[in-house]
Amino acid sequence: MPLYRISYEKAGSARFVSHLDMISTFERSLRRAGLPVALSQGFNPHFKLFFGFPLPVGFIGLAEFIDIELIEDVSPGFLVAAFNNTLPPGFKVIGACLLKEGLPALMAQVQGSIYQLAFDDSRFSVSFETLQGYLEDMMSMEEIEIRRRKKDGKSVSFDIRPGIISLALIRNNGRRVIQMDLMTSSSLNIRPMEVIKSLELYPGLGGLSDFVEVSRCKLLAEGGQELFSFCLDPVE
Amino acid sequence: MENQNYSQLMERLMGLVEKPARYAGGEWNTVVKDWDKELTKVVFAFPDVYEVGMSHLGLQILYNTINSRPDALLERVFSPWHDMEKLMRESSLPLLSLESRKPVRNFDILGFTLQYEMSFTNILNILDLSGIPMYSKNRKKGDTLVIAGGPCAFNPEPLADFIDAFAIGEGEDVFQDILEVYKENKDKERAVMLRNLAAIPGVYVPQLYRVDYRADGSIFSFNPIDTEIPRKIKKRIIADLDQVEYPLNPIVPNMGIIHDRIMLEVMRGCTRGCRFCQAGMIYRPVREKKADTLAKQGVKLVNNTGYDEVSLVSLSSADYSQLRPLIKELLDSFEDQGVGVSLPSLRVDSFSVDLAKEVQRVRRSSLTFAPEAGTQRLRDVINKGVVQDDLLDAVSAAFNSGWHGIKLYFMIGLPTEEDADIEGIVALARLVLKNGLDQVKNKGKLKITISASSFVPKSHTPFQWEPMNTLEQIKDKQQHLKSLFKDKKISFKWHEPEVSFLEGVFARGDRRLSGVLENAWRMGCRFDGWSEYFNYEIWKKAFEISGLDPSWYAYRSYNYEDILPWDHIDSGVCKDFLIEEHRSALEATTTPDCRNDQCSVCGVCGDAGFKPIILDQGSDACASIQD
Repeated sequence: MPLYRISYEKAGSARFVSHLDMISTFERSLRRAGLPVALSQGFNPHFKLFFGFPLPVGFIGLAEFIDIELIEDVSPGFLVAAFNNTLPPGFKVIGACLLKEGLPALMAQVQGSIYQLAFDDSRFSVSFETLQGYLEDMMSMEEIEIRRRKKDGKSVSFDIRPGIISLALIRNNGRRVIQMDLMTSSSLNIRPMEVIKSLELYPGLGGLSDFVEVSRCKLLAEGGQELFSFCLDPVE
Repeated sequence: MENQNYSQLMERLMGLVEKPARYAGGEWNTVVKDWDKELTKVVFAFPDVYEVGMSHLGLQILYNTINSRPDALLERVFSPWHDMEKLMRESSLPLLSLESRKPVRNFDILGFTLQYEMSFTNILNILDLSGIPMYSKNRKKGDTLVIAGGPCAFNPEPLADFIDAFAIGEGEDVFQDILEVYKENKDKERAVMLRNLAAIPGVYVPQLYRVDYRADGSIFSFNPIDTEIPRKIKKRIIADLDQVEYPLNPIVPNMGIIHDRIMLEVMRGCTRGCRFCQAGMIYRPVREKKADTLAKQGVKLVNNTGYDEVSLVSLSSADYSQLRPLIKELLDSFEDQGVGVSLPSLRVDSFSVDLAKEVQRVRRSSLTFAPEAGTQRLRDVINKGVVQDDLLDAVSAAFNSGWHGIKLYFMIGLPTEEDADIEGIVALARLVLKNGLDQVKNKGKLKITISASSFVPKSHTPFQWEPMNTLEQIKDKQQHLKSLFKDKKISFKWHEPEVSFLEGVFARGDRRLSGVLENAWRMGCRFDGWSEYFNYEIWKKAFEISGLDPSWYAYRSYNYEDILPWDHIDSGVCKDFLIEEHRSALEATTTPDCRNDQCSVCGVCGDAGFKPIILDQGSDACASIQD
């Protein structure tokens, strides 16, 4: 049955919707739209929706992805319109396509993310150049140790440096934006807040994590490929 | 601070708390009107956390009723959880509505729903976080008008000093009347506004009444301050539910809530007449909606919300006379959509179990029944029309249909209760267990849960004159039960006795308790219905400071001649009927269900032309209808 890939924005009030609640949000949207979604087998059938890498609550997502299996072909443009008429405020579908067959699951395709973390210029006394220097300093390190809590509650030491591909500082309308290219996969997943927590250890940046607005701008597949590069036809 | 900044600050705080979707708004079907238009602005406050408040059907009904008016808007606010309250206070952020993120104090009217006595401190907290004067007497022209309704408004007295006007009974119509009077009196002095509100049928303005007490603390007199003010406030009621607009575009939350499904109200009221049940008295008479109306509404609700479950709600949905045809019609229309129908509660009989089996889409692990008392004698006292065989039939049917878990709800501390009744709970549980062992194949999965809550006498019921058991009695009974449940397959749960004790104090309290509420709130009490936040020591201190004794309220046995603190509120059910019912209870004599048998002359029907609407037998079940 045809599998469609949808890209959407999650912003405004929608950014506070948790990953778990996203499933029911999309299911309800699909039911309101009356789209012919495939149901799973079993005693408690549910819609065949496949999510990408979870976006933490509160983060803005500018191009998140979800794959949906339908029982009949529809035009991707129709799918986009149907979603935009039925998703709650803050969600906006920006493109859709029919996928090639035999691809790995969306979750397994995702390998990296580009995040932007913005905060007001006036909030911290550290100059643009100094902050840039901090980021360069971090990139020059061999390893960056943080504490990670494991499922059993134990805290272990963990090196995030191998998962940091690049860090950059951008000026944007009285705000500073730290852009991070990070590994995002089941084998190595670096959270942007872990990078910020390490950055907070530099002078003048205490409490930074309470004041940054985080956006995930992009999700990338193996070798930096776009997730839309696996479509049969152009994206609508 | 400008409104824009409030909204931005709120956004930032949301990033720092758990479950920020509680405060975010922006759900599907939310109505956001233009704030700058000349509208009467109402904010509906549910004094508990979002997940609880959004599960309340009354909110969805009033949201629709008021927002359908071109001249008004209604937004929502809930009690902020502790983490958010702390951040708001630290940054001096006032409480904001969800829709427009406007300060609650900028609304014309703030309306609370009163569902539970243990949420009263949350009401004070909402007023305080909003920056609205806490006491009604301190609010002036231009201040937000504070109103309240819901079941706890049937004994409004503990909140009398904080609320400007209570709406008694069903809210759909009376809210409209309040809006009209508000609009006409907006620019007048608050005293004038209040007098004009008091002229609306069903509206109670506590400031306009004077209470005098005897030396022993009982009420000597309760009178309006002058003859223009009504002596009694009669509850409002919707005569025909098919004729009122039902919310067909309810808000669909962006996070999991307690009742996360469509609520389709099939009827109001209940004819069973359980003597402990306030809802069974104050929502009389029973009024069924037509199956045809409901089937159409069910389909629209699924299309408009995208939910996959329709719950047929009422006080006792298994009693709805058109239940089978309605369920069939709904399931036929939902075919292939993966949408199911559910019943919120089951009657204790095999009919209910068979229905539950038919409609279930997702198998829940256990079924719940409420026999309420352990012996036939005590079930007759409370007029719970259930015999042991009903229960055994029901659990038999459940085990037969593949359920492994049964939950049974009981109350302890009921009037006339003896040791034999407590032991009867255990005997009944063992019978159910034996039944399960005989029928269930996988015996390892078999589980019986016994839950015992403590009886709390409520206003407007036949037990309103009855004292509560003392804390020691309840604790003894709980221990007694605990010692008797030895089998590992039976688990026993009980309610915190101190919470029930305070619930009892406020359920039958008077207006002197206002001070206690304020003390408790000042010392930090919030979310008292949440066991992790309930702090009995603070409450004891709060009573001490006010010089009041909570046990005087809870353990009090009233005489029929006494003036009860809620006597001025008229539920339509007459006092003589309640007295008769109380006497019958003490003799363990039952009163039949007026649905099937003759009218029990409770008074609600003759009065004001209300009549029960029961679809399958005409509407003449009540003997005293006067046309």
